[in-house]
Amino acid sequence: MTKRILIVDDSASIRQVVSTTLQGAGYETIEACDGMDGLKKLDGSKINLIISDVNMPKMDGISFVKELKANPAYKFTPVIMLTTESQEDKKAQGKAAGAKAWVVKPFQPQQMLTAVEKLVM
Amino acid sequence: MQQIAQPMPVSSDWKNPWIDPVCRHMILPQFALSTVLLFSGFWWLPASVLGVLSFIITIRLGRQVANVQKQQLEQLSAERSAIEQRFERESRQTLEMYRVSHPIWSRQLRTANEQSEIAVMELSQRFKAIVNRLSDSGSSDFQSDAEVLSKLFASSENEIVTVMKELRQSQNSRRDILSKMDALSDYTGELKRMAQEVVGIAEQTNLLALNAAIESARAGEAGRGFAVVANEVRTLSSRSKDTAARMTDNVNRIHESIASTQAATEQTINTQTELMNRAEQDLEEVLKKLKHLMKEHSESSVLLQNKATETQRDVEDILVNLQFQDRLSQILLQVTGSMQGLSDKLEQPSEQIDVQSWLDDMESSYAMQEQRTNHAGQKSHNSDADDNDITFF
Repeated sequence: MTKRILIVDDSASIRQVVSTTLQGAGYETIEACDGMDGLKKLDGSKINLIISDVNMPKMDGISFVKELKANPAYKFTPVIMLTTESQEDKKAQGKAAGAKAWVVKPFQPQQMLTAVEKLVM
Repeated sequence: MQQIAQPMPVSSDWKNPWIDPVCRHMILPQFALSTVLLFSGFWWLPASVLGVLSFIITIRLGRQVANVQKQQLEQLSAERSAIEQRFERESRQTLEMYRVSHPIWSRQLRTANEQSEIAVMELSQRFKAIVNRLSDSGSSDFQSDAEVLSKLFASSENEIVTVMKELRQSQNSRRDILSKMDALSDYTGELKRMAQEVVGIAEQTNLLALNAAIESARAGEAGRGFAVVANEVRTLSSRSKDTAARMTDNVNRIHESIASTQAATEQTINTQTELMNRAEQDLEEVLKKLKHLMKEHSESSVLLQNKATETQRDVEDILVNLQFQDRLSQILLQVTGSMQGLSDKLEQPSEQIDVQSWLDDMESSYAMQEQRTNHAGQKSHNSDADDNDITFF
């Protein structure tokens, strides 16, 4: 069965690059443009992995992950933070919120696939 | 604002208090009178007059200086007031210009960012299509072409070899038939010899029957019955000879027929062998050429596939580089946000602006190392190559 990955990023070009990379590896992708939109896309259906940006309008990535982890249906869904932020304190915030990995942009597609394959449920 | 730094315009009058006409007209007569009285013996008189005059002059001069200083102060006060008014006016104009320009600049930056985003999206979509096409052609067309041709060639070669083997077998079975026909031909020769032996026996029987007829005639009436038998034997002998002659004719005809069939079969086999040898040579030639073509095709396919893979990798690298748009967006968003914050602060003139706190807030809003480096006034790099990593928690 094809695994589904939710991509949450306010940059359409980043969503497209991530989507292209994952679809090329056989994954199904769903896109959301910020944290709020990401929460709307969680309709109870099975999501195998989430890739989220940190700095986004309306709802940032850290708040989104906190909300996600509060939802019993997605409590154990692994999350990869994909961001330009490389500050250790931000990484610590991501870890505390429940993220499993921190990938700094710009990313190499192969790097992203390695992280996805390691964490996808 | 630059005019504030200009030197103050000052009058040259206040520097020269001796310009006062009273003072100027009194000095020379006083000097002349004092000289005359000094040399005429009334030395005390000029001294007294000189003292009185000096006192008057001092008072007069004091008043002059006080007047000049007063004028100077009034002038300075007026100039300061003018400068303050100009400063206030220019500050208000600057603020107004910023207030009016800020939304325009924000819109321009937003438009630039949006246009850049659209362009990057279009570029990445096109590159994605190229990658997909290259991926499809690389994995199927070139490879499958080469594989299909190779398989086709191998199966054709097998089929040709099988057909040739079958033809050779068929040729061998014809040769068997020919050797059996040879044996048949040998049997007909035997039959022919046997027929000739029958003819010989019939002739000898006929001779014996003739002798018996002569002996029976010599015996007279007693040999009459035997003469009948001898006659019958001669008749039988004659019939045997005829039969043997017909048998010989038939055997000869069969032998001739077999011989002609043998000749025709042998000719056919020879022709077939010749044709097969030629066909084999031609096939070998064709297969050799096909093999060569296959090899060339395979090599060019591999070359094309390598080129396609190389291009695919280049395009993937470009897709990675297109991520600059996200970095650009973040920098522009921070700048527009900062401009909005400054605008809001300037809208409240009574509020005291703490510059350091303002700069600290600005610094805390950065997402990338590049922004922090720029803020610190250091030379920034195009990307955070060192930050490019994955951290697993």
